[in-house]
Amino acid sequence: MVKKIVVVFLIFSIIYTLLILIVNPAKWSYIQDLGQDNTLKAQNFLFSSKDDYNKIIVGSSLAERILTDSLRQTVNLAFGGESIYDGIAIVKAKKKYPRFLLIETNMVMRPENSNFTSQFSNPVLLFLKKYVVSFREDKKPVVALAEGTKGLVHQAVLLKQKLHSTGTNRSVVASVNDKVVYGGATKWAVELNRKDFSKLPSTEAIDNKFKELQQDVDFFKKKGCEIIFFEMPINNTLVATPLPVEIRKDFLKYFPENEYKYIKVPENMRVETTDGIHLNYQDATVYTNFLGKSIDSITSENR
Amino acid sequence: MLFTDLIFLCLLSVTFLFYYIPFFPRFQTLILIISSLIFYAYNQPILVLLLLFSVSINIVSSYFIVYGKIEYRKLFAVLGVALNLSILVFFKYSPLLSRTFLNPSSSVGQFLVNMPLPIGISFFTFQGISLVVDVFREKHFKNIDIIPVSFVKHAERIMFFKGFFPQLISGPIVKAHDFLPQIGPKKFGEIQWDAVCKKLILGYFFKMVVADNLGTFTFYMFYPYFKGAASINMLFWLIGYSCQIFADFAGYSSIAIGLAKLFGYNFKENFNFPYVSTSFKEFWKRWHISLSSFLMEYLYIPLGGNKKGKIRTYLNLMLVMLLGGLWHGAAWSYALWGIIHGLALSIERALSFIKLKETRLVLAIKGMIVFFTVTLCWLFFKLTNFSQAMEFLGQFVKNISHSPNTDSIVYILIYASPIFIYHLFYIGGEKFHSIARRFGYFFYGLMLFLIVFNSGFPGSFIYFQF
Repeated sequence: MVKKIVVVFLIFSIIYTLLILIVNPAKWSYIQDLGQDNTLKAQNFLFSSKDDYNKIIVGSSLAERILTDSLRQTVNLAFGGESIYDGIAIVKAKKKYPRFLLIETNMVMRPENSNFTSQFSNPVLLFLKKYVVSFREDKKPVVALAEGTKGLVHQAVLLKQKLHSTGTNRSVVASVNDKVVYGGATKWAVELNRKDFSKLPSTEAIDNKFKELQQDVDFFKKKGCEIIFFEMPINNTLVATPLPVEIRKDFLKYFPENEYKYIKVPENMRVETTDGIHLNYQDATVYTNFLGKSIDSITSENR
Repeated sequence: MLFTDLIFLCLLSVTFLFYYIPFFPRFQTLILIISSLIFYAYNQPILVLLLLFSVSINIVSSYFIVYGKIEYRKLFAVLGVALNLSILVFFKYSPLLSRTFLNPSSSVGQFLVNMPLPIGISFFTFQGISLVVDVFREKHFKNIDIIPVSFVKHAERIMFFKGFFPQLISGPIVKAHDFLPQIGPKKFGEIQWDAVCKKLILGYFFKMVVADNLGTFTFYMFYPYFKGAASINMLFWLIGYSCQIFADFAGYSSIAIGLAKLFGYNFKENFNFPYVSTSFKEFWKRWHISLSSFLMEYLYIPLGGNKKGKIRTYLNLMLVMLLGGLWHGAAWSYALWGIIHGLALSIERALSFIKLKETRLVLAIKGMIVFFTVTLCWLFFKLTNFSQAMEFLGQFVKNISHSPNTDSIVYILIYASPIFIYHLFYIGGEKFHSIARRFGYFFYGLMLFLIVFNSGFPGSFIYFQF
């Protein structure tokens, strides 16, 4: 029985790997959720042989909105649901350090997710994922199957809506599902964030977190990196709530402005967010342009 | 340390190697004890002291029940049970009691609220109680056969019984009368490789492929992510979570049983296709069997069971389920979960005079009622904040007209399907059983392939928190 099980496993594994190689690994790329998306992003960074970057952004889902297409030689290692410490751990795992490390300041209190980062410290898994393409995060067989099924379901939904159409164009429902489902969420989400931002962690917790960051910053400085802190813009009614105010104050205490570079949000910048803290696509583009110019001006000073 | 961690596989390999080396048969138990302590200490080393303290209570109380003065037997038994329960109450329920009855901002309140919950405490405490009660009652075995005269030897056996790593932190709750008679030298040639392999593959498949993948979708059941979601999505999240919690816990139990077999020990099955149940009574004979049988044997029957009249029977049922609910977690939502199950069992018992002809349709309807009630109750496991659970239900009723997010539904259906197929094999009768027997290797090979290529984002086992 055990031998037969192993044989079946090997047959499936070989056929599946060959299938991916035949179809083309670049085309065979399917993602089912945010966690997988984060892992893939980190894997692509770690396994890429193109090391022509000189700037790396680390941050949370707030900075994940930054569109690096328009930023030259920049890698965005900001992850949805994760923290700056996760990005930092991945940069350390790669052991190729950038000239500039951009650290988002907003979510500094969020801890590292060891469940996420431990994937990249396991040498056996890293080796397998680097050299056997079918082990990569975006090559999961069930996800490929699900994407196919989803396509069929979407088609069925569209067909049904077409048949029952009463003149209103509802055929776009499937493609904009998220907006329809979560469309009215902004107001309560802003209020929820306001509630979160009104609570301050203990002084001890804040000190510990900043000391942890200080160690990381020192590490990167020793490796020749220049640190740039930047704050992502949030809904203007949340800007002056207790937590963001405290965090700004603590950053200046631990990382004084005369020693570290900061990119601050201009006072007149007003942004649209989906929930008070995450920029919508349009304003993410606007902020990316602003950030690009700010980085250029800092980096040109250091040339 | 998780069964899915690479470090665990290293520990397992080293333990296995030393365990079966011909020079060490005398030290087999000791090897497993050391390995178990490393396993337990890996994340929170300090809590090993608590485990050792808990074990020492059971070593002393059980030993003196047998070899102490006859007039103190009962005293040692009562003390043993009371101390076991005190540890559990102090570490597990202090935060809840403090939040409910004390000022949380006071120094005592703060201390109690921040009390760390030692992993697996509910499981190893219940095992300790089973030991003390079994030895006191002497119903299942003769004490002199099970409790050696040598105190050191006895201590080693009890340490092993409570600390054996496959069941240490998440069960199954192994009873003293099932486990202690098995302790003895084991031989490599006696390993049932087929059974070990099947149990491990099924367990890891349930955990890593089904539960971990479903977990990324049922995550949105948490507050506030469910707000604004369509009712149909919320329904699928509930069904998905129902399958996830089964896959997670049945997966863990299956791995634990497989690992124990690897070292020559047999644990009883902890799940027996629970979602085919057509009554709540049947459900509790199939779900977390080691807990329900523990509650039946050590609580329900001592309370009088169904032998003291109807009202007392219903009260006993409610009390057992309430305590069973609270055993899972220190939150009132778990108590509510227990009360609902207690009510369901009582109502079912009260209506047992109605005799319906058990046609397939009737059985299917009864099965659906049980499944959906149980599934709805899992909401109180997921959202332990009662007001959030109520808000979830409020949104569920309110958002019927919202358009669904089909992506999430498709993924939940796909990842939940192995659970339904698994149950289908049970109810499918001999035709399905013969397919399972003939092509079992194919299904296990496929599951192994999916474990390697399609595991979800690794998460802790849900039952670790209990």
